[in-house]
Amino acid sequence: MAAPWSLPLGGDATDRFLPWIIGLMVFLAALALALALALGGAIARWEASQTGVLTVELPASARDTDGMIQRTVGLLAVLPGVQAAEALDAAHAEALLSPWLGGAVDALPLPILIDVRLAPGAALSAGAVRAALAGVAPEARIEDAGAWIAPLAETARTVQLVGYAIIALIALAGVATVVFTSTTGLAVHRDAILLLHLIGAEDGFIARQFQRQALLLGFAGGVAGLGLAIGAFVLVGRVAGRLEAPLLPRLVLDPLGWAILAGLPFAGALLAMLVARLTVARSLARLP
Amino acid sequence: MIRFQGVSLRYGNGPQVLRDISFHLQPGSFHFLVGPSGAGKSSLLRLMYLALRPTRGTIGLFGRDTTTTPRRELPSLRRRIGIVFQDFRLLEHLTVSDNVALPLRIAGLKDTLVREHVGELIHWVGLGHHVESRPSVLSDGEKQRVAIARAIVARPSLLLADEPTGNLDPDTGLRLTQLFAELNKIGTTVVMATHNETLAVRFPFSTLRIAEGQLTVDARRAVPLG
Repeated sequence: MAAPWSLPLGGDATDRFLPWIIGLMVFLAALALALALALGGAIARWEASQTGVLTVELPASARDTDGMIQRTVGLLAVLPGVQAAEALDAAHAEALLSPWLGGAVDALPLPILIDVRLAPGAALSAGAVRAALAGVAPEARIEDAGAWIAPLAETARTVQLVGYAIIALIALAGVATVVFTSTTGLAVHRDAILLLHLIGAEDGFIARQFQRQALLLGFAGGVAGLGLAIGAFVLVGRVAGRLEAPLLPRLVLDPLGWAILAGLPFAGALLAMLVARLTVARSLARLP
Repeated sequence: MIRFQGVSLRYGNGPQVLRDISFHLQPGSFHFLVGPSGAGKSSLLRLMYLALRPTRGTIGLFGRDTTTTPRRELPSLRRRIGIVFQDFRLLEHLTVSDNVALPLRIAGLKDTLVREHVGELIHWVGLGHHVESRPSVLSDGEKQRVAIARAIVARPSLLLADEPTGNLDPDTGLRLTQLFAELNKIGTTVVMATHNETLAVRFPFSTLRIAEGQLTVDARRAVPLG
């Protein structure tokens, strides 16, 4: 005896079309979500690396002035709010600048860089440091990385929000698609549905068949879409990883990000199931 | 069993197809519903099996006023009615046994019980060799028997048949009516719509006559009017 599902769902064009559409939507949503999550990670890394850090830059000529570097480092170390101050050696400075300047870095008179780490919660501004160094190193320049990281992070956050908005739009389009396929399914199987209704089927008996179908098709499409999206994400991440562009966010996800991404087919299938149920129940409620 | 009180029906803004109909059918009775094509027989039956709500009046079924019964409680009333449609309404994608099993599955019966009841009934209607066949390979007479098996498999209190002999030859039609009479003997209330009055007069049952949307009762076998 056949399965107790009394409607021939799955045999018509709308049911064949649903997994493809859901698959495409999950593919696009997964890409948008992965990029948004990766961007979120990058923002966190930028902010963590630049919070509580100042860089004091002395001109290359300071090397020729006896004790200037040591005096500057010594003064910085005792400033209230400073946890540590350390002059970077030439090799370290070259390593930092070579991604930007390439081979030309050897030939250039590199400035002396002093890395200043602030105590947690210290509110020492670049201006205050400049004033404190006025007597020892009047030509010193103070770089507060936080000052340029902030607008960058703000821009990244805006892009992240756009990503989430795209996901919401994709979800809306998915809802519309399931409403359309369910409505079409109701029209295609109208006679059979009417028969079931007349011989005593409750709305739930009929709606369950549509919701089960939407769940299965939605999940199948979702898994395929996610698989493609992961492939695309990893590929783009590898290509982007080869670029020597330290400011570009790295396309990597933490375990939580991967878990959220893995949940997309389930979320898509559940949404499809819920929408199918509501659409069918609403339509059946018009029957006497 | 069934009580119609001042029932009228119109489809949308169209003319009235049934006008001020009142009658009362006792449990365990058998009634032919006769009248020419277009007289309103099918509409009356559709009201009885709750496919329509009347425009005016009240319909009582199994002691409940269906016009005020909440919609969510109607399926349980429908499950007590067996319907034989003129056009059979078998689901083409299901086998004979699955078609017959539908009311039991809808009622939530366990699969083992479903198999037992269905197998027995399919053999009883003489289609044992067609258990796994699809309706498309059956003759009209065989389809009609599947439709009857489906209508009675859940042991309904009320059996409504809309022109069940319309597609059958006279002998098969007579045998079918005898089958309904047998079901009536075991307590099932039967209402059988037919335009074949020569068939109706061969049985000692009351006749509801409908013409131009109005109901009259056969003088010889009067049905108590409510």
